[in-house]
Amino acid sequence: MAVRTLSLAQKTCRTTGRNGSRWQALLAAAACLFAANVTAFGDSPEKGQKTPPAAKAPEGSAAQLLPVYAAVPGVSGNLKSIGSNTLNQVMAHWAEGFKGFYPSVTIEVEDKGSKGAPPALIEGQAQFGPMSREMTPKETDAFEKKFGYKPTGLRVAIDCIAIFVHKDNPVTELTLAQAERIFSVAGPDMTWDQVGVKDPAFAGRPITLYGRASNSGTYDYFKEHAIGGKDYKKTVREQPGSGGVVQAVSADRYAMGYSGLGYKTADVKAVKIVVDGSPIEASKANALSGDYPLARFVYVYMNHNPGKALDPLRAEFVRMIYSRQGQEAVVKDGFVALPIEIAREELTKVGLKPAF
Amino acid sequence: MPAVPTPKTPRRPSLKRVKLADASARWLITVGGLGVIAAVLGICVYLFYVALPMFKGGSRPEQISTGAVAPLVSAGAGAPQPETFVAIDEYRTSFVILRPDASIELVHSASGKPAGSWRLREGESAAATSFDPASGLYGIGLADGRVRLGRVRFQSDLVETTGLDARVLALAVDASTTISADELASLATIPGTGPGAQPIGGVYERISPTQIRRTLAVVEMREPTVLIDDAVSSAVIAIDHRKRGDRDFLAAVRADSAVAVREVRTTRPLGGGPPRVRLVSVPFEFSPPERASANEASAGASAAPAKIFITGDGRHVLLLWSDGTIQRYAPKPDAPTGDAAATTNAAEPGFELMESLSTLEPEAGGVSHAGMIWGAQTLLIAGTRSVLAGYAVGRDAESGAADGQRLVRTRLFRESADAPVSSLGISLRDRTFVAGDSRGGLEVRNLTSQKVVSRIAAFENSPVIAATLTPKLDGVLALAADGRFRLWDMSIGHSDVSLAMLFGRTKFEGMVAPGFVYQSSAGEGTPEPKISLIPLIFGTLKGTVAAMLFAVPLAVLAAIYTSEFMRPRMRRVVKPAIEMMASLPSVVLGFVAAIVLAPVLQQNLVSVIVALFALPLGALVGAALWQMFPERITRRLSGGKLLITVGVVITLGAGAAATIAPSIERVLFSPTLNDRLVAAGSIEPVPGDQWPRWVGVRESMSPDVERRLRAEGLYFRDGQVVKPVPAAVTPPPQPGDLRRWLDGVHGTARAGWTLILWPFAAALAWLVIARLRSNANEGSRLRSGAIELVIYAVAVAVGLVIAAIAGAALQHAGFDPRDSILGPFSLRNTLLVGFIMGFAIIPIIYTISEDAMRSVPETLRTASIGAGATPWQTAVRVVLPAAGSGVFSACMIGLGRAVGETMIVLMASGGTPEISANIFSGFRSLAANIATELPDSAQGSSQYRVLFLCGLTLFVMTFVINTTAEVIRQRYRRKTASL
Repeated sequence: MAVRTLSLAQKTCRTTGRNGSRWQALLAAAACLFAANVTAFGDSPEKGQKTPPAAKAPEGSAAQLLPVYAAVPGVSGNLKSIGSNTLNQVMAHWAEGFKGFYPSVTIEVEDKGSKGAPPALIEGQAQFGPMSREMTPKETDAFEKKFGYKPTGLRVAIDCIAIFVHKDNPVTELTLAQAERIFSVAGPDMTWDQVGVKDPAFAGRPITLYGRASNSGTYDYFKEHAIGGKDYKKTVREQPGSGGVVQAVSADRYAMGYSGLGYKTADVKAVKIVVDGSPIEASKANALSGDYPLARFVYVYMNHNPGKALDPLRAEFVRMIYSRQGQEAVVKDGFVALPIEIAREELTKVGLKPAF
Repeated sequence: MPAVPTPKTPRRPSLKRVKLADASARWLITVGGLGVIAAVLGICVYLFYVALPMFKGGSRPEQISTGAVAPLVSAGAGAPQPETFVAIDEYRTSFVILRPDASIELVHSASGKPAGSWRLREGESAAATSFDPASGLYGIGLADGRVRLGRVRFQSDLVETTGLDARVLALAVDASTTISADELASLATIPGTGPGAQPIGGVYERISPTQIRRTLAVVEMREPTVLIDDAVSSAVIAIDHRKRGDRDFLAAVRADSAVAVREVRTTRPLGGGPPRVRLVSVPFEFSPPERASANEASAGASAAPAKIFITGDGRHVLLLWSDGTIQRYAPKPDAPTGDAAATTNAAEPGFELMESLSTLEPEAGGVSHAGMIWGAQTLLIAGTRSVLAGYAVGRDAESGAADGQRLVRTRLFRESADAPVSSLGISLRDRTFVAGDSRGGLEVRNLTSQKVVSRIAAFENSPVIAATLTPKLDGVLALAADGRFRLWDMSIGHSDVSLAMLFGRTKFEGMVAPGFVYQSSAGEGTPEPKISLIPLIFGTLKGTVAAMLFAVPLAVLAAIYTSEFMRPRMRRVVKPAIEMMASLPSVVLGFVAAIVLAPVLQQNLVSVIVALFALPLGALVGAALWQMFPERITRRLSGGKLLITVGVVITLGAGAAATIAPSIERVLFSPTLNDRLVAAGSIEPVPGDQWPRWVGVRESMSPDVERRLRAEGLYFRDGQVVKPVPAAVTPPPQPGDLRRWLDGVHGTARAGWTLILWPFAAALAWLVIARLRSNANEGSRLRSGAIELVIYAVAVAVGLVIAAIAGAALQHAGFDPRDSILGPFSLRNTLLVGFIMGFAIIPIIYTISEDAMRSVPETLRTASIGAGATPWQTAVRVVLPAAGSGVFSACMIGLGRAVGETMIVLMASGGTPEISANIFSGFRSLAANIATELPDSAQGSSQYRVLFLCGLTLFVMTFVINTTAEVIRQRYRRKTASL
């Protein structure tokens, strides 16, 4: 393909003639190629985003109980958020919504993985650090060393991590012990019959494994909560984004991968997790009840001095997160909205009075 | 100097200007050159400067406070006593002492004043205690066989002075002040203390004019519970209580060797509401240890274990005897599960004895101390004489244990012989630990890197009875048997990195053999840092070699053709066109490789491999055919038309490769008869005594081990070794599948060897034949062309035969290409990187080589042609050697680019840092590693410095390559300078 494009570019050069235009033509061809690939790269997860069954209408959800956000006067300035890829979408939706209320505010959302959030907060590059896991003591130490108080983590949504397989795969359920043997070095390289698949099309086929990159909070969470803290097998192929994992699984019949439930598409299915003998589906109800073992809170971390009041810009953003619009965006992106009590607790944490 | 104008020399002023220009140019160039050298050195020095602090130790410990509490009973030679533990809060303001009698004492560290206490009730007496500093879980085994479980923890918050009780303000005028529990209760409500949690005291510390930090010690002990419900009242002699996430594990052993293992699972509804707790009692089957000899047993080796440990994942229970024997108990692995898993009851598989290991040599004496390191995977065992060793469980395919795991010694620290370790304290941030000895010395070490951070002579001749590292790893606290305590401030530096780890093999937790491992550190959890640079260096070289193998022949041959055979008009178009390839940004090439080329390669793998060999062969055949054409036709086809002809030949070659690829795949890579028989279920089990020894006991098998088994004609099905038996109906042949063959699922090693060796054998055969008929090149063009063709055909056929024979021989000798250069196929692999990175460096190598050849004096060519050489002979034997140094430089510059190339490798190599020669697996190069990890590594952290060391290594590598290349080039140039 590369060669073909190149020769095409050369042909273009020859027809267009002289020196300058030759380079221009080549550059143009390269740019086209680049652009095409950028869309190929970035598009697919989004495509996946549009059809997740988890992204149902937010009716009946906890979001309905929250007050509708309304703009207040005197809010302006710049905000920057650096952190989790899992939360990137929802952060962008919040930013968009916030800009709708305050056109003079500029918000930038950067995806650096959860691991990128603490350094950004410490160095003051960002006001918000979305993270799909809790900060580690080491990260907290570094923050506290600089500011004298601990960073404040706000629970902003509930997320389920699902283990995905291809939609044609007969596997319906797994135990976490099995997941540990499949994904971690504690087990051998496995084939599908070893997880109980009798179908001759799958039996004997090695399980291809997909996961997230090591700067991701999902990577850490799955390691800690699903596979007993063991190291991942080297054969787990690391994908840069949550959507990338789902896309890879949908393209590979023999694949298994973990990612946020919100990224589910029609081409993959989420296996049930067997807990104490009963298979538990990754669903909103099971996440809220705590039965689904891979349900977690996702966070937005901030630098908040517990003795001081939050500045209006950040205070309003936080208020918007815990408003009906904010939590509806959460649901739209495939997360589970927070119960109203938690929303209340979180607002109190940063010294804001909940109006509900 | 005054200028004297002379009319006769009108050029003089200009001469002066030229002189001035010369001088300034000389200066500029000198300064510029020196500047470049200085810049390069500067970069090198800077890389050093950033990387070097990794290898320095920590800071010298400075004592910040000392004091004394009531003496602690010395753990003498008498009856074993429960251990003493200390734990300090993260601001180092107060610490708790957990005494052997299970009383808890809170001490203000600045003054040494007691600030609160807690003790067991009347009638309860502690026989064993355990404390897990990571979670604060405190377990007390009582003399009557019951246990009391709970938590001891610190809790801090910031309080504004405004609105605070005046009495508190009065208390907090000093830097820090203690406050008793009673006072606390009267002062304010304490946030976050749940039911049953009892603050026993605290410290108020003023950290700014308006803020006070309140640190409370909270004890949360539950009511005693019966350990084993069997009415035997025997004391609990050892207990271990740990936490992992929402699961608490408890293991305890009574004096009558009855062991109880319990797990408490807490389910916290994310939607709010009380947590649901589920208690699971796991059955435990105790097996008394076998003693090596009877007199050892009579020599007082105790009947009951001295200590019990449960690993952090709750999967293994370790029983430690006082003579150093460890028994490992684990649940039997779940039987081949599947659909049955859902229906089977949730009954926990019980713990059974898996293995028994003697950890201390007889001369090491008995166990003086033992404890788990952070993460609770490594158990440190110290002997009374001279040994401190770490043990961890790792997966071992050849282990004899039923669960395929094995307890191995991962670390061995030699301690001074006369001061046995009397206490261990661990860090809560990494694998640093502090070992206190019976002479009062302290040693702070890192388990993984084995680096000694600091040695402190803490107490004179009083054993260190308890020690700990502060939670933020900024200090050490030690407590002597006589009640003295000392607290030091200390920075441990980069204790988690050592040269041996970076460049040597290390045995990590979970591994039974040492290895080179690079794994990017994760945020959450407790992994050991795995930072061997060897996989990265290997990856860098692997990618470079792949690219060079692809690029050098193509680029140099193209350069020869352009320089020696192409018409000037054509060259003026072709050369810039190829040079333009260099203007493609490597990120674009990486994208193309990852998105477009990778799936194409995956789908047409066999065709691509065949084409690698078929295209050169096709070109040769094309050349032979060309000779057979009448001269009047070939004359007319020149220039562009000739190139088109070459294109047609290449296309035909590619087409031929694609056409024959399926047949090759079917012949070489389809399941053998045995494979098909086994797949059809025509098998019989092999008796256990005839299994290969290394198979061991196992319920499943990895493909590589299974392949090893299959090389002996045996198979593994449903936990059994089986062999195929002839069936009445022979299963029909199946289509070939290279990828499954690469996975090692079917087929023979011979097939792979044949395909690999074929081109080499054919080339060899061709060389031999060509040499044999070296003087027989007369006759018409048609005839010589035909002879060439026949020779190629013969060489290919002979090559195939040789390759097949060699392949069979190699297979017989037990070699399989899937163990070395072939192996499971990954979408992003070395072959792909080789293609694309080769594509990126071809223009450089090509254009410099071509320039070098063009600059060979025309006289040499004319002389050679005049002496009767053909243009090809002239090019290869005269021009190429004369331009050798230039061509060599070209290749070296290409190599330098390939070594440092980042974006292509980042996108197309998959990024797995592994050491494997497999051309179908990915890799991670030094440059790609820096690009991947630098954005999210905290400045000044160990990871950050390791990345700079990666940069330095890369720098050294390119420096060595370039210097060697330059030396060789100079030598070469001297040789050909006479031309």
